[in-house]
Amino acid sequence: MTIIGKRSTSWKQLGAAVCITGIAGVAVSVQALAQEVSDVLPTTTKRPTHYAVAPESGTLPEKVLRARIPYVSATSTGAAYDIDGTKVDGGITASVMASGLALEYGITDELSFGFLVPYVMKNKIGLNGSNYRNQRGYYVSKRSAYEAAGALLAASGLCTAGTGCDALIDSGFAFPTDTSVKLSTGESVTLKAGVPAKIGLDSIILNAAVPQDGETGIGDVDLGLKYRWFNNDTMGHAVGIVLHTPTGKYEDVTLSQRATGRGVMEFGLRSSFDYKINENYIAGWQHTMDYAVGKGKIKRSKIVDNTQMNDIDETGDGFSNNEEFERPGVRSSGYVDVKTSLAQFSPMLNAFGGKVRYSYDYDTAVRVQESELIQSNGFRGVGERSSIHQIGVGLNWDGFQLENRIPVRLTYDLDMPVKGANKSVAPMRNTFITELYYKF
Amino acid sequence: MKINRKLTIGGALGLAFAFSIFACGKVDETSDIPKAVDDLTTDDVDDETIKAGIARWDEIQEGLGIKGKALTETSSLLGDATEVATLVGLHTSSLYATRCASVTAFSQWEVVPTALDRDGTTGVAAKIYKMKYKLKASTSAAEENARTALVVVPDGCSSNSCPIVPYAHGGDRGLSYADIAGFFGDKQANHIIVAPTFPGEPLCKSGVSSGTDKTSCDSVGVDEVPVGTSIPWDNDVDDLMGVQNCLVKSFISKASGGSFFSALDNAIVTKVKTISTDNTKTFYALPLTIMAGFSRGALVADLAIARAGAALTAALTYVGGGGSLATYVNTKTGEPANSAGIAWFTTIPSCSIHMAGPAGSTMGIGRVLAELVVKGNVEQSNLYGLPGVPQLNALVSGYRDGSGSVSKSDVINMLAKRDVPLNAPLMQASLRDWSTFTLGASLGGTGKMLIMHGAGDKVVPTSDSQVIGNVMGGVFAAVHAGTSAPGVLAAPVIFEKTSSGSDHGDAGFHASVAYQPSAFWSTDALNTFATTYLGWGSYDGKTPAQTLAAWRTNVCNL
Repeated sequence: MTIIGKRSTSWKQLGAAVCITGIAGVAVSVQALAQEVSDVLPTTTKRPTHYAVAPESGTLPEKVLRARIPYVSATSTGAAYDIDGTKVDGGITASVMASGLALEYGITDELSFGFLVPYVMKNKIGLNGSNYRNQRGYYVSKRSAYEAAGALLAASGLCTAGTGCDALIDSGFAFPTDTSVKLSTGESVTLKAGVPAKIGLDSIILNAAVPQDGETGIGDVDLGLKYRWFNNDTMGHAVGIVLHTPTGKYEDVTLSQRATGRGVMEFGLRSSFDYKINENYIAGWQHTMDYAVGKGKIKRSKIVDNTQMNDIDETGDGFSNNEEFERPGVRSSGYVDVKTSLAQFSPMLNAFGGKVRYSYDYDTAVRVQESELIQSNGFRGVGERSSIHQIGVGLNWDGFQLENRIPVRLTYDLDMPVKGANKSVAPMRNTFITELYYKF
Repeated sequence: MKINRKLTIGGALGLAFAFSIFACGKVDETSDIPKAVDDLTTDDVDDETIKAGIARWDEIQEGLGIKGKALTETSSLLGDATEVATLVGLHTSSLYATRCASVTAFSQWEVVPTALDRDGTTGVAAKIYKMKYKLKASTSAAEENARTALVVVPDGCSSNSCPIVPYAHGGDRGLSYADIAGFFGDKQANHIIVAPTFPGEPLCKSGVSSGTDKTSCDSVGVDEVPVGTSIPWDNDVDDLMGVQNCLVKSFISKASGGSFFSALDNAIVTKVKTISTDNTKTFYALPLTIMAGFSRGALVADLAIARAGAALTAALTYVGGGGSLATYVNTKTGEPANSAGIAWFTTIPSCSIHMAGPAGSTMGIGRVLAELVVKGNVEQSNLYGLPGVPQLNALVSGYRDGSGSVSKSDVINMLAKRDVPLNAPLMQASLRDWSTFTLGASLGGTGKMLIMHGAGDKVVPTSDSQVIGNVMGGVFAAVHAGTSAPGVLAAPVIFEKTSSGSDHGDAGFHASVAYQPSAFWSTDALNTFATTYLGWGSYDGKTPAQTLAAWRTNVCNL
């Protein structure tokens, strides 16, 4: 699964990531198969739960098809987390809207199949330059820009490459003549004589971060199987596999835009567990570990004009314009929740359920030639791991609980970020899902 | 509860559609993005400290005539009569400080009694003396504490055949004999070299300090502790002129039957070559002098030439106004108001050697340094580690802090006084072939300036030698365009970049050979000058020592 993008020019992957994350969180694959249908349909659980309280380990009854249409709105007013986990105003405001279609089918009562086709509908980003300086992406880009300018200063003996030249640039040093600085992409920019190099470099970085509307369209399609192997009156457990296929746009998307996919095929293993606390409450824990399979293709954009792919052959930083990338390690994500039926408060509310949820996501980094600093080299992605934690509340309405058992469920979830690290955007997410059921 | 099924399904889909339209939040417009880098100006700086630094540097540039000029462009004040007059005034404000009051000791140095070649083991036929001397603290009094210099006196030099070479050492960590040996090598056998330690700097038994305490020398220790306060490119210029003056006084006194300090007198009186044997030439009886310096000392030597030129200019101006030269000399230096005093006053070089030195403060790396000092961020630069820079930085602090203890004019004068290009007119006033000069009859021939620099110098860039070569060459070209000064024949020679060392006067540099980068000369005049007067072909492929010897013979005509 994708997590919110957090690259040097970090907004660039945001759109697709937010959408996919949102959809994934509520609709997709194995997790999505966990809902239990009403007693109109063949139930697959031995536990007499209240309606609208679906255990995590649940699977669809045999020959039942469920279609989900999720709408996910992710909105950020600038909140971000730096690499040390401090919440900052990162200057990125985002509004991303995604939808899609998830179809799930009960092969047997214990085995379900599903797939999700996400679709990014809207992908807008705003950038506040002042606050963007708090971003990790700005820091990494600044690091690269300072190295480029510092190399010239060091060559002339004015400072010692590294912190020595950083200090000189930060002190307000201005080149005595118009000076061409070669960026990591091979592009050259001219720092004007007499103008402090630091504001010139700052200008380059911030202007390079100015976003355009992101890509829209189909994201990464997910396929999954879920098998419930254990189920009794109080507990259940299911395992699942998920295949995330890189059908979304990634490789050919310039840094001025957000991609709709993660660019690489990933294979996931999922554990879904639930425990009935009492007749009114069910606790659940779902955890997924995703591994990237092979490498993805990635192209570098220009830095000065990030609406263009880089076409300069002599880049000078060891990276070519067309590279492969990896997502090393394991992405770990999941949530813990407690769900209840509101029927316990009034029979009139028996179609309603509620939940509280704590979710987490430790995402993998994007590495090109194993470098942690690709963010400043015109490549999409961040070179270091990131994480986000959210607290959410949800409400659902289930038509099966009605007297005439309408096969429709509606779900609304609100998730808010509470903790994170190396996240350029920490959005609040609203999710509305429409579910339709059909029994063959 | 029973609800219409179709209505419910339709309503659910309708809700989904509604969310798709309204659920997304508002996105702020992109804001606070700075101008494109091409459009930035200093007005876009929002850091108050940096803005103040820029404002200071702007007004200093205005004062130095370099506002808007490239590093390779000369100041608009170069040659300006008012500027020259200002510089003359600055250089001669305490001219007594360049005069030798007395020599208090002169004896063979017990640490290294005889000269050694660059390898530190091969002997050179010369003896090394330690000289203690005092300069004048006023026109009427000598300073309290004696300074120290090393004097190399060749064993040969019979029949007055060797020039005096006041030598300004590199660095600001004191004088090491290795510095002298490295510069001159076997040329110690035919030059009478006098090298002061400079104020605030020690005489080291062996090498200079490499630690934070610049006055401690290396582990072998200090031979003479520092005297006075180090003010590079100011009181060290006085010191260099002062030791030169000690030898001039000694030689003239002894040669005319008197005595200055007998040990010194006796050591040099038969060895010093005079400017000419033709007594129709005004300064024929004065010691023939080659001013020399390495690195920081190269600029010291240049400024000593300029200060001597300023003294001559001021004296002639005084005389032109109806005054007596003897009176001027007496008033400014406290020397006797007679012919002896006039003779002692005249410390004039015929040739100079500038090795790997900076150009000053209005061009090249020196301007970058000046900018950093004025703006207040030189401590963030490696230039802060260069000799003299911390002292200069401290001098300017009173201007930066706005306390008023140092004014804008003070800083402008401070920098102008330390600048070779601005002082070029004064340098040509004293650096000339005095053997052809007769007061009122001839201008004399051009002064000869050898500029040597390693192409791979990591301490002082070769561009500074380009600056000096071009500026001095420009002066030379102007002379040939019909001006009234003899000019200076500057011979910049670049030595191949070596694979080891810093190329800054080290062993690698001395083993390298001369070549002429095609882009080195900036004017046609200089090209002509290089081919016609320098005879480049005779220098190509020569080591620094060979170059120096060839230049001395063929150009300096010694």
